[in-house]
Amino acid sequence: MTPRDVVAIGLWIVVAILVIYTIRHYIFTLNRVFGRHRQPYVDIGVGAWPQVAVFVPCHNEEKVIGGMLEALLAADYPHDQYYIVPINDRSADGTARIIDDYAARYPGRVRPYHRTAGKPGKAAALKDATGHCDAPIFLVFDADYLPGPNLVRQLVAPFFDPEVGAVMGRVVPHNLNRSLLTRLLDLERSGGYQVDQQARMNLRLIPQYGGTVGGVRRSALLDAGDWNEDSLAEDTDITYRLILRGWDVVYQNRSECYEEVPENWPTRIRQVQRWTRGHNQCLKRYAPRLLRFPRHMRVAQVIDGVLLLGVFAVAPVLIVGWGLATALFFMGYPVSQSLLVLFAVASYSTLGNFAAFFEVATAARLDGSRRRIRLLPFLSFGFLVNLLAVSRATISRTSWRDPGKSGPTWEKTERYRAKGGNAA
Amino acid sequence: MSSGTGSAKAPGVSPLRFRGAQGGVIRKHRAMVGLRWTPGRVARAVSLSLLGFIGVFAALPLLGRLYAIFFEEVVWWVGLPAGVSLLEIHVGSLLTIGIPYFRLEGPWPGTGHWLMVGGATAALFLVSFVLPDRFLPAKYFLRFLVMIQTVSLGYFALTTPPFLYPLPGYSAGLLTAGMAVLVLVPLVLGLSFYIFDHTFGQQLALTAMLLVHLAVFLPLQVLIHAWLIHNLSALVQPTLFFIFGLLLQVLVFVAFYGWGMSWQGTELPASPASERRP
Repeated sequence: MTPRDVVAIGLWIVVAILVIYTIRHYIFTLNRVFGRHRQPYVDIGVGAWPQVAVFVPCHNEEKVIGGMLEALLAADYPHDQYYIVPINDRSADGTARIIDDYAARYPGRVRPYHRTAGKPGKAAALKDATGHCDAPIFLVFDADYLPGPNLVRQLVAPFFDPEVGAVMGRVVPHNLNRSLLTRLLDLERSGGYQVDQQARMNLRLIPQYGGTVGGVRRSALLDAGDWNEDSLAEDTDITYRLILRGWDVVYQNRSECYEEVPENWPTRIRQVQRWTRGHNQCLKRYAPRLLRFPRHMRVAQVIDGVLLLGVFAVAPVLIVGWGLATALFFMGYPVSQSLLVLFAVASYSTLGNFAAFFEVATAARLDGSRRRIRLLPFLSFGFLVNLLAVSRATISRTSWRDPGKSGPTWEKTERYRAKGGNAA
Repeated sequence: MSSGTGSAKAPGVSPLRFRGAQGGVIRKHRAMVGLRWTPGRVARAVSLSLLGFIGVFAALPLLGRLYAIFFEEVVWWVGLPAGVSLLEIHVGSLLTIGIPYFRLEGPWPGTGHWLMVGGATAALFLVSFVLPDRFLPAKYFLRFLVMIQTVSLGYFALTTPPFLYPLPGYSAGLLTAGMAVLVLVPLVLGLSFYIFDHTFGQQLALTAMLLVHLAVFLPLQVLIHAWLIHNLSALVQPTLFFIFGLLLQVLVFVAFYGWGMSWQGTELPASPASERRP
């Protein structure tokens, strides 16, 4: 076997991986458009609503926490069954004062939890707060989100099903007209939720609990081993532990909540790199357990679970593929042979593969955001930035190593609301 | 009794379920909308795809001849000292397609080429650092371009002539790949566009515009590649192949596809709130 053959085999493997993800995109998109929608809990409007604690982890959130608490206080949910727990983790700004002010104005309904010690980070904060609350259902919102009045009820409804361990709602950007980036992120989010998450729900695969605009059942959480305070992505981490313990995770496409998306590229890169490190950590932890094919899981669920965990590892694979294709080109592989042509088309899948464009365009069309679809070709720029940012985060040692004794730290996305945007 | 109340026998009652305040229409929430996979929809998507595929396929010999005429006419205008020959591709016994190519050698890099291409590469690399952060994707793209070009420079610095891919074979290969994309267009649209709620006219219009655009684009792309390789040597050939070859054709497809998907259809409603600025 010549070196050229070895390179060619490597390239075929890369192409095979990309083709698998391409097929996945097509299946999800076609299912979302033409498949039977599975939204079994969306009609529940009347019931013996359980007690709910809404966690809002905060670290220096003075710009947005007030708006968040106002929105949650306006929630349409029985007041005697509902309280808000702003978890202030050592904020150095005015967050604590704002929270205490609300607690004084709404005694019993706003119950602050101030952390002054212990591991920093969202997962550790949630774990501490969980130990101090006895509600059977916890909802979690990041501080920059803006939930509507019906959202709490919608997110709690699935918990009437005793097999449901976690619920996830849909995230919709509200600052989408700030810059090209925010518009592109709106398209990406649309594809991710309107198509990807809903198709996984329809197909009974693994909808992902996303760490905000969602909730968990206390008993399920404790059964799965509580929040993992060493995790860089506590949301993905708890999703997989719940699934492996036999609990259902449910996605509610109708339960929408507004968020702020990054308005400039450096902020976006930091966000993606944080997600990459957390996701890869989960890949290392849970892919081997999934691949033992637990009895209670269907084969399709296992395959989807592994592919979902591997989604951030595709970027460096693609870069390796580009390297191999370049090497093969200079080693004299005939241009007319189908391999390079196939690879050029397949590589477009993450740099700009058509299946991904198909998914995003379909999602935006379902959303009724028709004119925005014209920005589709610009997504390739977003893919290029993601590709490099994700690859850099993946090859960094911290991406695969468990954090040390101190655990993860707060890695926050810049907030814009108070200063009226920072488009760059 | 039943004649007054039975919904099955009361035409016009069913639409009342969707009648909102002041006579407006109650629309399905965007979380619930979808399309039905009806036999008519499938038949139309399949027949349009197949007809398009067969039509484009059958037109390839004619297209090849037109491209040959175009190349013969245009080489002198752009200063390419090239003849035009035909590479015959036989598709079974059905068709013989003549793919025109330039009888012209891309020069091995000389001092002038090194200075020009090396200088341009260095300049692009510097520009990628000067651009402000809001152009980050452009910065990354430039660096990606520079990376491929640098590998190419390294390769030509270490090897001796002849280059692995002579210009005639390269131009024929690029045009062949482009014509393959043309043939695939109706099939990809069948899976991704014809299945939606666009009118028949919209489906035909997008297909026609895309095919005509690509059919005109392809020979121009090959011509520009040949001109650049002839004037800047084979130093630029790898970059042209990887970045400005098939990827560019796919991007053209995506741009048209995005435009077509933005057209109002017959079933899926547009959201007035999201129809402001794209």
